Amino acid sequence: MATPLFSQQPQRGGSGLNNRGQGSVPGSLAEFKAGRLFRDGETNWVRPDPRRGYCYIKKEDDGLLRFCWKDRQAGAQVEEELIVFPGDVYLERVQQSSGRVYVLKFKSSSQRVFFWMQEPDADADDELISRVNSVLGEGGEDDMDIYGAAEEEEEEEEDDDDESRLLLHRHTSREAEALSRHNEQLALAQSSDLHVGSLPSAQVGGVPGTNLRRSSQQLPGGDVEPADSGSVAGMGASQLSHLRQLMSNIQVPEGYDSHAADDTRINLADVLTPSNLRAVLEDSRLRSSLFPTLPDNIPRTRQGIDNVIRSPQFQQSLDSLSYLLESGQLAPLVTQLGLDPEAGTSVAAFLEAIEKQLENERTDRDGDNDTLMD
Amino acid sequence: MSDNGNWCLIESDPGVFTELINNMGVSEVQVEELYSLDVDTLRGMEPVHGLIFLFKWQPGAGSSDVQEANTNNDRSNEEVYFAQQIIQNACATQAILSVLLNRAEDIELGETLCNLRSFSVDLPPDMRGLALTNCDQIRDVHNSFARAESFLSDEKRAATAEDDVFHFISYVPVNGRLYELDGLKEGPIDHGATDNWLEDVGSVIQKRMSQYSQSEIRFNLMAVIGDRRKILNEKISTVDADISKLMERLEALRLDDRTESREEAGRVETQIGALNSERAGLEHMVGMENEKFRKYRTENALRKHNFIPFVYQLLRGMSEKGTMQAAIEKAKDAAKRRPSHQESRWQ
Repeated sequence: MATPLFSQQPQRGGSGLNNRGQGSVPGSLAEFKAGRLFRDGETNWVRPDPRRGYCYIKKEDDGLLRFCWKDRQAGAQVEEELIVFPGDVYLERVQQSSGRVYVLKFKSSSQRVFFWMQEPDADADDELISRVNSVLGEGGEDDMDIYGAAEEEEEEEEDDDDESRLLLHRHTSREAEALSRHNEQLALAQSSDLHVGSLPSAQVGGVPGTNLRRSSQQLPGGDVEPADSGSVAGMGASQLSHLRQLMSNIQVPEGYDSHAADDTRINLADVLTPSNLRAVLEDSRLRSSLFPTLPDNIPRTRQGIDNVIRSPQFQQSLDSLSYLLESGQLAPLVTQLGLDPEAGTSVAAFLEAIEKQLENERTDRDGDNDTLMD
Repeated sequence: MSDNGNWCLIESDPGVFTELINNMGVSEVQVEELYSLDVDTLRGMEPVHGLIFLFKWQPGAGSSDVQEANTNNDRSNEEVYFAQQIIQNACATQAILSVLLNRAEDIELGETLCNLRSFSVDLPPDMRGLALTNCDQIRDVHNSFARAESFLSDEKRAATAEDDVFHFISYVPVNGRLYELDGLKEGPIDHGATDNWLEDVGSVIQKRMSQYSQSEIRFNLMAVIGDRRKILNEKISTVDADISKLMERLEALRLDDRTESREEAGRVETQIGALNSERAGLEHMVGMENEKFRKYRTENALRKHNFIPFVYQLLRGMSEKGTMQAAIEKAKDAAKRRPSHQESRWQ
């Protein structure tokens, strides 16, 4: 009995390494690429979450406006979903930071939510933010009564500052029990429950290049202002974060494509090609530096290295590492290589950080030898 | 299958499966990839302990075909070792175990699998699946084949709709009947009595494949077979014994000067020549097996290797040589040339 051949395929289930499509949220009113920053414990420091994400604003069927953050990685859930009220919130650049750090401020409370811009074009930030603020101000060009829509009419009589909090409080008490089970989620919510007034430049100046270790070293000498934590406002923000968690259970619209494929995304496999590496492999000193990093049973020869570079296993590894870099999952590891955590935010950032590292090493050496160059 | 219980995904590759089986303590078994269901191909691999049919699984596809064959739970616990699949990521290992544990009489299972079998043989299929996935030794061996980077990420998650989900089905002969063991089913599927299962399994799998032909599904077939080198060396010994017998006869014939004896000696010499070339062929196949296992070792070492330091050193080298920026530009061009995506940031 002869039966036809069937195609042979490499099988690798579930590694999620597909880079297709441009991420965008259907029906979003505004959208930009940004990562988050979290307050470091009880300090006034904020620390970048190296992951690549999206901020977007959308309006749900209930007529309420949401400001959301979501990892750009495949299948990621919405991690931040803030119900915002038109005219109550706005994005503002953090002047104390030299980086592209922005803060979402609430007029009705002291809540602050920080983001670091990941759009490729820094020059377009101002325009982008003004467009976002216009959406946040107008509430998506829809003048429907958002409070009425939420059926909290009796509270419309309240003072403006309290309106949203009371509204939120009612929602929250109803769901408090269910929410309390999600301890982990609550912890996350509370960590972004910031009452930071103004940030000394040292705090966010290094963002997103500042890692935790360094920031804590700088903390004692830093010019730290006391946190602006109005007690009533603080409670409101806390309630809001509860509600946010509640809302985060809402399903992302179907067809949401979280795969970000911006133009600067590159794959290590396109960088570490045999032709690009020729100069390195022809250098016997550099070859020797590679030997300790090879698996044991690979011959310590140029041919051995060449075979590794051309092997499908190495190519797969490069795909995985590119993916891990782009999704920020290598951030903890790149610091062990002496690179800034920022190097763990994308392949391009990783490569540039290595360039910078070598440049710094050269400068240090030159400095040691008293042969400073102009 | 929502909880993957710290089972990593491993690659479906004969080299991975062979080393995995050996590391579980089973000797004299290897896995070969099949490119044809030809009976002659299968016979050339004997002893064949079982076949593992692998395909890209689509929810709903092929789930309504249970009634075509009998699933018989009662008999399963007595005759067939069938375990239900509990953890998605473990399915490849489970498919292999489904073959091995049903061939306890023909295979030297080793301590780990013997213990597992005697511990779980009296349990119902779902509990067997649980016992299997809770076996630390097996999981450790399985996870040792996870690529190094996978420990860095939180990818030990259930496969999502976007992932390729591969499903494995084992075909194994037990007591003269051919069984299909699909861990997602309630019990084993009995494909009936068979005198020579290698002749019958082809049409069974062919039928299964035809169910998916329209949905661009991907197939793969592996055979769990006996140790090739051991079998080849046994054949070489047999050939050697035949040759020395013939040599003795040739000596005797040469002492005799009769015409018939001379003619007979010529025939014997021809036979010896044929056996010698057969022997050379077998030696060559042993050499190829040795080469294959050397390749397996290298590939598995590369699979398990943490390439971050190597990549880092390569990139530093590039930076030192001043070729980094040019490489980045080339890589950006390459990225742009890939299937395009639409810019839809602001609508």
